[in-house]
Amino acid sequence: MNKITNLTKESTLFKVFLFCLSFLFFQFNSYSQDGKKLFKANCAACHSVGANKVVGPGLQGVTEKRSAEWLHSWIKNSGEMIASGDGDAVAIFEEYGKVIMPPQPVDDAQIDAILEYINNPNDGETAAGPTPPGGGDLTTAAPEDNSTMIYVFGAAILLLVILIFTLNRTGLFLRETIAKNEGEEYKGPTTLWESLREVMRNNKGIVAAVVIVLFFGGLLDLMDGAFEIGVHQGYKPEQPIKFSHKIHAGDDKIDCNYCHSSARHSKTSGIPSLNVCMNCHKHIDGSSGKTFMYNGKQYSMTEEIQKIYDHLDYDRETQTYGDNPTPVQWVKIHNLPDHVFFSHAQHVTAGKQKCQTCHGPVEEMDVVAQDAPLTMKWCIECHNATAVATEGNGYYDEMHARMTPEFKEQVMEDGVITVKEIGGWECAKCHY
Amino acid sequence: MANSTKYWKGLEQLENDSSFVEANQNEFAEELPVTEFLQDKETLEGSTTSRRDFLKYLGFGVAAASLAACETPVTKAIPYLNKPEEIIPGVANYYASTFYDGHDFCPVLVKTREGRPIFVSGNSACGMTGGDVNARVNASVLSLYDNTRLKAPMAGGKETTWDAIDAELGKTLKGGKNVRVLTSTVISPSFQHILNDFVNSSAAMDVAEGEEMPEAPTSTQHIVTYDTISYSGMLDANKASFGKRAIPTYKFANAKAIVSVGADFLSGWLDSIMYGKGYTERRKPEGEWMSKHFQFEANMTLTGSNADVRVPVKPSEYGAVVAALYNAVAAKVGGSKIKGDAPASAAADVAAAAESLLAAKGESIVVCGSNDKNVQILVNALNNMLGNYGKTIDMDHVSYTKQGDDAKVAELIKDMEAGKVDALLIYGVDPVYSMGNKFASALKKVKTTVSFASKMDDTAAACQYVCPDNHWLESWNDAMPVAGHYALTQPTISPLFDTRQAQESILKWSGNNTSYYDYIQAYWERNLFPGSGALMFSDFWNKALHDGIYGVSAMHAHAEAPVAAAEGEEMAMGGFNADVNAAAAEVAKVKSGGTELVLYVKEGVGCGNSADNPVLQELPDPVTKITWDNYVTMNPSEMKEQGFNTILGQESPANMVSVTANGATVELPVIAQPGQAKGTIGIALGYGKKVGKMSEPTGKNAYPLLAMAKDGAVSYYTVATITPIEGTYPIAAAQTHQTVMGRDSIIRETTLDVFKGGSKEDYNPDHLLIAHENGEQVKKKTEEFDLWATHPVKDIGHRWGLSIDMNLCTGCGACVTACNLENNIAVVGKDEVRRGREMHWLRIDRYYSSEHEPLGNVGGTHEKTMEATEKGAIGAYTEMESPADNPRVVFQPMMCQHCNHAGCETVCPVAATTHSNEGLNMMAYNRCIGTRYCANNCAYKVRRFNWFNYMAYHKFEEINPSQDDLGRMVLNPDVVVRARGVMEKCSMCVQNIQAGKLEAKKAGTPVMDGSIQTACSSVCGSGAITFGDLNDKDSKVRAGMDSNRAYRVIEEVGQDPNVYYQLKVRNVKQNEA
Repeated sequence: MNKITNLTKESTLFKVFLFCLSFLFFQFNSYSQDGKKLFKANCAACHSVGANKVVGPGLQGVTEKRSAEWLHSWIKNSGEMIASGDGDAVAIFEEYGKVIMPPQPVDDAQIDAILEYINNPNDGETAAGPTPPGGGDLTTAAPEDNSTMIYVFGAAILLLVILIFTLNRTGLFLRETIAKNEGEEYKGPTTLWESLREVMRNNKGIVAAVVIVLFFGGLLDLMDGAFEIGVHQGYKPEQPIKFSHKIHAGDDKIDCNYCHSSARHSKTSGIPSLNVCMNCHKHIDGSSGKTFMYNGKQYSMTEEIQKIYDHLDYDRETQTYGDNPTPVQWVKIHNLPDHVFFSHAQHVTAGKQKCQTCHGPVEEMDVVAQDAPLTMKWCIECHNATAVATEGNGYYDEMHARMTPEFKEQVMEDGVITVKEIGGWECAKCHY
Repeated sequence: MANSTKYWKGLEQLENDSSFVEANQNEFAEELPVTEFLQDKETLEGSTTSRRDFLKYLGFGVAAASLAACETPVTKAIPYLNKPEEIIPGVANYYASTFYDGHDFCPVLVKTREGRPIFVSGNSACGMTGGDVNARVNASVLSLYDNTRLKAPMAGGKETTWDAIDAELGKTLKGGKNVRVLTSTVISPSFQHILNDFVNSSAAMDVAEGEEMPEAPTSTQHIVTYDTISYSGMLDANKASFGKRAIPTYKFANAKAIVSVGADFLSGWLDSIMYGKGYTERRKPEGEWMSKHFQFEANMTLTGSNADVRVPVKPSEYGAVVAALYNAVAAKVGGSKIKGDAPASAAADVAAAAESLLAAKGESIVVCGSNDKNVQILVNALNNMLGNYGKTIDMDHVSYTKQGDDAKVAELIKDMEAGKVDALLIYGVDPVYSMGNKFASALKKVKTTVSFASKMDDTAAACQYVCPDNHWLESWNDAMPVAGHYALTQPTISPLFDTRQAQESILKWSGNNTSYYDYIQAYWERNLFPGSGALMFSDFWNKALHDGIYGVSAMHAHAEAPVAAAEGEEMAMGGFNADVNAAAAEVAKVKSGGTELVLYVKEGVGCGNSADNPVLQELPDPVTKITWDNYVTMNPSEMKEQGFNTILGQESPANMVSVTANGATVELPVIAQPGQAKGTIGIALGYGKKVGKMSEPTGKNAYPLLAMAKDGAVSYYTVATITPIEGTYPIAAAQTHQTVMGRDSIIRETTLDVFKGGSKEDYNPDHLLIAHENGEQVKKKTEEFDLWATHPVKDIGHRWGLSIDMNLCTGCGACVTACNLENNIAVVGKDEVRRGREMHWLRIDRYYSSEHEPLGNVGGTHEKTMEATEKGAIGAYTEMESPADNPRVVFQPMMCQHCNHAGCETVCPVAATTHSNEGLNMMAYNRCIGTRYCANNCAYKVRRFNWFNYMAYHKFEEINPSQDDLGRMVLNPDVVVRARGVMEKCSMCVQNIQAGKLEAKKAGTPVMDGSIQTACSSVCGSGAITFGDLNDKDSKVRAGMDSNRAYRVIEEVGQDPNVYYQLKVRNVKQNEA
């Protein structure tokens, strides 16, 4: 199985660079930020700041096409303009299926702020920055390299072996020479191997000890290894669509439950279907051409978002769905054995656990990795330590009422009711 | 994940390469030539493999296996592209629908997971069935995923397309040809309408108020209704009696006295699901009153086993019994006597039955299973004389579920043979199978033959065109089972194959391109909506579709408020008007002769519609407990006289006999059926069909043995000759012991007078054990003996338990199939059942009484027996082992008792089976190493061992539906499929308990009684099995536990079970029966 263990870390340098950049642009931001906020609140449901159509036309360059006066009255009450027979207004009305843009509750100053934002939509969005020259070199930190250490270690061992060999040869030669000089027949070892055997013969106890240590050490290692079978902590496969949880859950602060909506209701958290993606990505269509980091590499948002459209057979221009959609084959990261019943709803809704308790800081991961070992040991250790969320739950009130005094004393000894104490260590709570 | 999620191990699997599929089926990658190798001396000696080599390979094998275990395949997760709003992966959806296959009618609730229907239970919103369901309806979900279903339309034995079929048939069926349609009973008003339009488009007419079934067009010979199990004689009798050719609705819930003459109304007779519900409503001894049920019959039927008084009579005497009842009643109410006397053997019981009927005038029911018009006229006259019409028998709200007309069928065959029929469309029936050559040869004379069979049955094989119908779970339909009551069938899955609903096909051939769904909607909008009082049709339609029924619940209210019987009151309906004396004279002509054969339908396979369902084949017959076969039933004492083996066992097979009747002969094994009327034998219909991928049919087709009565109605009673033939047959019986041998700790039963008059001590005394204290014998209750500290479950938290009322349990077996489907229990086949290796977690034990078990006297049976037999203990036990000639029967559902002092838990060396703090006996399959100590130490023998890998081993390939990709779709995703070598047993549907608790926690409320159901309790409409929390003081199950009738099976071994049984009370006087 392909295990990816080298985590890429953003370089501090890059962070500093970003910080400086954001500082640089700060002074221009204030006005535009207001405009951005207003745009998001009032316009973004139907318009994009790019050239692409959403429900209404893309607004890129609209201030050049139309006069400010025209825009003001259009935004305030487009119906009136159409009724009055304004040529441009009627043309737009006809083009967009005779749907009137509803009057917006904004004043002139706010309209100006919005228009300002439309003109410079990327102000304050420094994350993308200019694409660094030479691909992603600037921003990509080299993965931590262990190989040097191995080389040094290997070289040292090699050196030692050579040293032992040389010393041994020298020693033998000397002993042989002495024997020759003294006129005796040399009976000692003549090779490295023979001398080694001689040493071992003379130190049987130590050899035995070493063998025993090696044997049991090996056995222990084997056992440890056996426990690791099927444990894929840190498993971090790349996904067919380079979906970054860091951007969605971290930067954009989208609630986990927004996409993994069944976690609250069902045993599975549910991988969102693409129609959930389209709730946002109908508008955020990647036309900004920004790039983002995924598994240490740089990807284009345009291309990755396009993959959603391709799977859905969605035409961005006409905003229509084709007849030939294809499913996305995500790589499943958290694989529990089939004989384990795990319910997300139990932990998220009833147990009031945070997703991060088991999944780790997903909001910091661009590629999601399996954070917990997902072994039974890990499960029951948590069940032993975690208190049950009994507060204000009628179910537990009833269970409390059904406790004999002795039992209550036994359970409440430490003041908390743990999952274990209500049966969280019992086989048939998870295995059936 | 999504329902399209599929995991594969490699490209071979993805592409479903044939070699991969084959390899995957085999448990071993290649056949190991062990036998060949060991047999051949030369190879053995010539072999160079030394022991040393063997050890080397072994070592390598171990290492290789461990290495292989380290590889984990990459799994893919494939979500929906566009998730349907109502689906949350992992959460089940339920849809109301309706089952009708010409044999059973049942409004149901279909459980679907990610778009796959996986479980069918009853729809409790329906007042007629009250949520009851039978095994056939419950298990029918399996047949949806049957890979042997036809996958495309066929013409001339070759697969073709619907366009081609439509083009060909559209032309052939038009232009003034004589087109006939042979259907099973049609209860769908819309379909009836379509048929009428089709055969007689000029005479098509709209139906006004939806009260009446649309009348068939004037040329009724065009549509011929054929019921596989015919009620033609009864329908004709009703026509003669009341001018209405229809079956009345019977309200067993209103009947204080029930007399059935050969009618198995709890199992196979008419609308048995509805009758069972009404019947059990009045079988609780605690109720205001308990019905008294007499059964006169030849075969030991399910209904007979539940009767208070069961009297064996020959079928030729059925008419005489009815006549005698008539005379006895007439003598009291002042009617005139008719011809006919009770058979001598049953005279006393007939008198007793008549007395009961008279005592409950207007609140009684007499039914008869005979298809003889004259006998049925007598039954009608008797019911009429008792004033039952309008009270317990409703001729105003007639049942439409059986409308077959045997005379018309005979006429059709005659026309076919004469070459008068240009085209014949066959829907819902398999006449070549059930009528044999007679029909098959006539069919050859018809130019164009079309079958709508969904499988290649005998008729489909003989037809030129096969236009496979959708499975009912893929279909839209409506139904009017009873006048004024409607039901809807809605699809719960898209058609799996290229099939099309028959209704849509016929619409198309009539030149109407509407979909059947639109057609039904239009029909309802036209006929039912105006009277509904709803403002919008969509509201009306959505409500009806949501409920699955429309107008049905009113019936229940009616049933619950019986009209008080007034003396001599005229009935509301058109009075009885038939010549009783003429009928009696005809009935009196029936003479008994030789061995009388009764052909019957079984609870499992029914009339044969469900014969291809392996779960139903493996469902033991409620009474004989035999699986997978039909056989000849015979009274054991007669068998002994003829030298047949009466004891079944793995090493004691049944003798073979050949039975000849009406020119046909079948060879079948003969088995002992205590209670079978002497001089009669019984054979079940519906067998002789192939199951699953089996190459040979199971059982024999007994339809050719059927007789034709003079008036054309099919008769299920006939005279046969039975001759022993060479050979034996290994019968697969799920239970080979017959009696409880007087152990009242297993079965407790008493009589109504003792129960009403006595104290608990009289009929349900505590079990006392003898102990020695200070050299003296003392009797103590079982609870006082303890080896270990008890599990603290009483009054702490939950304590899940079952309460089983043996008075309400009719033994139907729906709980068994429900348990099988809910818990992914493997089908193991005839051979394994024969070895006692069936995997059923829930079985229904059927016990016969012996001659030495007087009813109503609890305890001391052994002493009584010793006294009666004047034999020593051994001799007495031998006597007690064999059931009485006409035994009482008790059904006892038996599953893991979830003992608080479980024997299994203490002997498991690896703690694979342990106790939960909620009173459950848990089983961790992955910890089990298969020592089977637990099964040995279980007092209830409810543990099952996985001897094989049933999901892959080739021995089970033909019969286990789970060996098929499609068949696996029915598996419950919340329950593990067990591997070879582990023990399994009833978990009390712990998956439902966990889910139910979670729902309560999420809602922040205590678990409501009844919100959690086990599979068995969810299908038990009679309420015999109740599941709940024994620590919930207000729960139904607690009430059962605290009842005076409650006892626990084999309490004396002190295992402290969490399953409470309520003893059986018979509505007879002590020592009367």
